[in-house]
Amino acid sequence: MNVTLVLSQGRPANATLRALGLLAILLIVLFTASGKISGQQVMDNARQAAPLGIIALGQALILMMGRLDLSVGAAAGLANVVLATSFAGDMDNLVPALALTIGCGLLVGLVNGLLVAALRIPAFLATLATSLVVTGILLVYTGGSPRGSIPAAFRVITEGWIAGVLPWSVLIWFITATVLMVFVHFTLPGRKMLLSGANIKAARLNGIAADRLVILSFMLSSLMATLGGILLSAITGMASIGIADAYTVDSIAAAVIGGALFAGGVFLPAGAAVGALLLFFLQSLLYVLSLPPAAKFILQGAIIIIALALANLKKER
Amino acid sequence: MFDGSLRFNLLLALPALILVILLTVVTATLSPSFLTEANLANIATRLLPLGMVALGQAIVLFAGRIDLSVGSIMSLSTAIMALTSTSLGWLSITLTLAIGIACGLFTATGVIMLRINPLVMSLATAAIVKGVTLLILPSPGGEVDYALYELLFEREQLFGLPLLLSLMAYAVFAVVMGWSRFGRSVYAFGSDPRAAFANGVSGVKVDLAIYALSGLFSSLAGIFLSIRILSGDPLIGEAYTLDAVSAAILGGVALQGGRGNVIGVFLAALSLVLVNNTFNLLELDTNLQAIAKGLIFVCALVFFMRGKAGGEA
Repeated sequence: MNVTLVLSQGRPANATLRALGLLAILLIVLFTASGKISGQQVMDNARQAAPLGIIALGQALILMMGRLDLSVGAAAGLANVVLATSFAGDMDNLVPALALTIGCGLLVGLVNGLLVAALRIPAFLATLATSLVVTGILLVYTGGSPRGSIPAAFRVITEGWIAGVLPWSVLIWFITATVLMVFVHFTLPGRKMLLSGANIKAARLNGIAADRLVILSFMLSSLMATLGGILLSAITGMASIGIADAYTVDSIAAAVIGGALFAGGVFLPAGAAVGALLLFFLQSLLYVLSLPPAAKFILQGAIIIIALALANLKKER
Repeated sequence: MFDGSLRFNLLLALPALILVILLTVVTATLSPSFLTEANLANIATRLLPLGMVALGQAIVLFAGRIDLSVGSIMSLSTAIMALTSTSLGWLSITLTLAIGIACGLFTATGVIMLRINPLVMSLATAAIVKGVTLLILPSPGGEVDYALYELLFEREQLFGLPLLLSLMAYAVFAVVMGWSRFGRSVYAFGSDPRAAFANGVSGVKVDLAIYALSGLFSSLAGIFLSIRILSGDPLIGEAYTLDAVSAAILGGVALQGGRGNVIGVFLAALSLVLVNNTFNLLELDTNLQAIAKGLIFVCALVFFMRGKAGGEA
């Protein structure tokens, strides 16, 4: 692959730049309102935004496929409970706990993928159904009050900082985004997946096993949700029911702010990351301005509408 | 009168009917208290809100759209009722209905003018409505006029007002959707928007009407719910969004629009309420209910929606 192609792929998309501009404005407002400004503070916010950021990557991937995954919140919640229960506060259980958590996440993705690709059920309904079943299983299994905890040594992944400047969770987020970006844009299966998202009929006519890629995309999305759930568990240190429910809508909002289109065929991991940061800083801003937390929902809805309206208006011109 | 398409549409209600009969027989055999008048009245009481919100959802689905904001509008309606009903009296019901319709029109406006995907637009409306609800009523509370409770639910009888109201709403809309110009244009728009447009159906009018109706029925559901619990709850409607979609699909309504009828939806809503009732009477783990409902939803999807995804959604 020649250098110019790599460079042109690496250039941020317009949507990403727009989101970045919005983020800059928000940061300026935030710092004027709070009267404090420091890189550390920004990084600390990014540290806490990492779970949402990683889940939004998965959602962006599904949006690239022209579909929607409404089970990411449930999958992240599942990861939270499974991880805390299997860890039981003991670092010795690290490998089995992680394996079990990731296995459960992949299973959710596989079920989603099979419902969508094999039975051809519309994705948002299929994922809504799995989220309902997963939530139900969690309730029955835990009886409503999950036990277990995350050992302090593991919580370093969200609480720890590298050399005091870069939080581990931000690094994990960055690596995940890069890996996904390279996968989609620079590997053959990734390119095929992108084409399947842009036009599944054309993809099939070109001999691409689109159904398998759809299943893979749902497994990747659930994997991202699981990773997000693991980071979230490291932040809270314990298991709770319903802790990740808000991530479903949040992740859609983040991906859409970052330039994802519902028609599919667009994958902008940097945009999704900026979108996640934007949502998180918005929450901080509401806190600084001492507005009630309910205002978050109103702003979230407004942002989704504005972001999509802008994208649509541009398309029509 | 019963032409082929209508007979086919009635056939769609069959799975829901079978489920209703099955649940009735099983629960009546296993629990002696099922067929008591108090329990049947309880079923009718619980059917009322779900029936209303499912009817609104079904009308939107007939047109090939979807409304995921119905639960939030329900919550908002309970909040408005709880805050105003003691001071405004009957006016508070009018106010609540007007706000419900306004919420629906807001979604329609985004779909029509901003060309936003209906699914996502209704999700955005849901978020905004939820925020407003939490602003005006941060935690469950408030008070709903007890006179309304007396009027609606006090007499515990099967053929009381709750059941009559549900039956009336469904009967009216069975006729409206099946035989009126409006109903036919909703189905036509749902089957094929372009062909409908070519035949003089205004997509804008259909969108405005279906979302206004959905908002209206959601707020009606919220009003009945708030009267039953005599207060408001900012999150009580959340679960109803999924139940409404679930009832519509179980009732044979196609997500792509143009197929289904309200009779199936009524039976499906009834069967969901019966599931609830069965779990309570047999004293099963309430958490199992979530799984059972999820599995019913999955089965309904596999039964009715298989092969419908094609390349999108």
